[in-house]
Amino acid sequence: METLGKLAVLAEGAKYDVSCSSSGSAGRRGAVGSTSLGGICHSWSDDGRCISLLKVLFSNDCVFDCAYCVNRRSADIPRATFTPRELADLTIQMYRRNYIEGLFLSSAVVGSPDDTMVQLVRTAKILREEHRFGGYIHAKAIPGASPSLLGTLGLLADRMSVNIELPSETSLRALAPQKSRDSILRPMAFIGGTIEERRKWRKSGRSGPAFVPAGQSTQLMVGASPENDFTILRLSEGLYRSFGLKRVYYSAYIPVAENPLLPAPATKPPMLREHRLYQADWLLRFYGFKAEEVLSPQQPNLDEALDPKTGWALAHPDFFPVDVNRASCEEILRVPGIGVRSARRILSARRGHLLDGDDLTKLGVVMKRARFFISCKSAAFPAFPAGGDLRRLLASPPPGKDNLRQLRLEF
Amino acid sequence: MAVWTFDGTFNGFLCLIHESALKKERPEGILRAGETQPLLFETVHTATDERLAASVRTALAARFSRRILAAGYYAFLSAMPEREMAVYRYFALAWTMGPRAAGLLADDRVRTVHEAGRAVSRERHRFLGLLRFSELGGVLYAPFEPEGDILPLVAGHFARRLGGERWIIHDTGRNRAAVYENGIWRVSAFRTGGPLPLSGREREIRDLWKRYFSSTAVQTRKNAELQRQFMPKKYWKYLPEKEPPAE
Ligand code: SF4
Repeated sequence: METLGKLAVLAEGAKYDVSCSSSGSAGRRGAVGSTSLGGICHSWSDDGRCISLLKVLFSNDCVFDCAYCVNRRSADIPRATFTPRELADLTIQMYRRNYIEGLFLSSAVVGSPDDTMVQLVRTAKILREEHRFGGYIHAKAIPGASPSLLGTLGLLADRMSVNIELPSETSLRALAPQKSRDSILRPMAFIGGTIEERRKWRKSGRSGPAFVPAGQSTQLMVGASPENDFTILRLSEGLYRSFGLKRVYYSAYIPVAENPLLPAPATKPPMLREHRLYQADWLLRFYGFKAEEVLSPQQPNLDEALDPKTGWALAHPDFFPVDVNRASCEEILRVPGIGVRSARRILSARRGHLLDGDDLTKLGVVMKRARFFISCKSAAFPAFPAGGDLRRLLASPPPGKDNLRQLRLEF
Repeated sequence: MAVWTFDGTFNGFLCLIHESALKKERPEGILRAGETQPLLFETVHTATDERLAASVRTALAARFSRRILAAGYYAFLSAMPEREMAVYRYFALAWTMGPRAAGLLADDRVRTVHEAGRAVSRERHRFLGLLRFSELGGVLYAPFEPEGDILPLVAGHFARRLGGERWIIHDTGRNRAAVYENGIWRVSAFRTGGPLPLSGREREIRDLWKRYFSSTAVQTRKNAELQRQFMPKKYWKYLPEKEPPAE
């Protein structure tokens, strides 16, 4: 098959993978290319998403048969496989023309996990060593890959990910029989451990080549299997803590096949749920929340009508009002309508004088939401009007459905 | 009362500021040499002296701040009408007020310049992604038609990114180009006699990109409005992925 034909097939197989960030690299420099620190979008596809990386599969000719996947062995679809040189050349030619910022290198399992890894390593090697490519490479490790290959690929890539996809072992067993908890978590632990080791090395003054300088990420599917939000959020929390992951991406499952264990093909992907999970994840990473605070076995799913921070605030009336002139940063961060940046601004501005409502607006606080939860110089704001009114007042309508992917970090 | 003219470069503009300070005279208007000059005004031309410009730059930065200098420079590169006078007034204000001037957002002299500067910076960032090179006989060539005069603002980025290559970034509206070779880029006058012919190989790579572009969209979620919001139509002219299908 010609490169053009392969490209069409292999871009199709990769387009639902959501992780697309191209920033945060340590600023690699090569003869061709350097990764710049802020992300750069090179184009926007017809669905309005940013195109930053050439995101294709090395191959979609999978020996595994994961029920939720378009590339599963039993699916009747056209198959294609690049050669390492073909994909490396394609990348460098697109990069030189400024079409892309780098390569998202991923693959179905061709032959065995290690066979596949060898091909990915070859591709990255040609790019880095022959083409002296200094742009961005996000490499996806294959579940079950051996540590030595992970180690080699990690020296060539800026970021690596091993996708978990299914949030529990039971679901894995049912839907992805050739994968196991171990075959996913072991590579993750290896990558996380090596990153950490390198970091310590460097701290102690020893030098060594960078290993996955932009960190490790993973992706979880939402809505393919029956796990609730609490299970998912606890899993993410554990991943951040034990493996030092940079990001967990959530992806609303789009049905691809008729299967009694999966939602029917006509089921709409749960976009709003995905959005709320991103918000809750944000709370874990930047607001000092624990998964057990956001959800519980009694209330295991996020409220679709409220952003999770507002949900927490409404369930904890005793915590409020927070006095913005006295409270700690952690307390201020709990107030709906106050983000990380405005919290920091409040802390520095209140050293000068007691803050009133106008000051808060100027510091970027969304008073429409915050006013029910704070007190300041001008007033103790009317905390908690009676009844369920507040809930209605604070409900955040689902963002326009097409904008969901763009809005996921709005607070 | 006089209209002052200069060669159109930022260095020339700095020399003009210096001269106006020396003479203790404020220009009535500032024009680039070659622009039509109004009949009723006397015109004074300032010559450009690079070394003088460099010391004016240092003096201004020391007096008000690099940040104000940079905001003025960006606005100077914008497409705003009478931008030279606007920047002149902004610098004059900052000269008396010092670094605080940057915070006077309610003052029109400050607001207009900051807004124009921000638009330039936005456009620069957009083109870091949207510029498209074609390989033409060993040289990478990228035509574009920006609103602001952002050639000098994008060239450095591409000198890093495409350090081992030879390239030309061509502002087709202003007939000027940044030309990069052996680690150095220079801006100079540049013209081509219309669009340059593409080799078969170049066509092929373009087709690969167009194919990738169309396969990556999720067809059921088309959203032309969102796409145009990020990638306005005025920038489509040189984007291969927005080229109307051939034949
Ligand atoms: S291993 Fe990956 S590509 Fe293969 S079927 Fe499973 S999810 Fe799909």
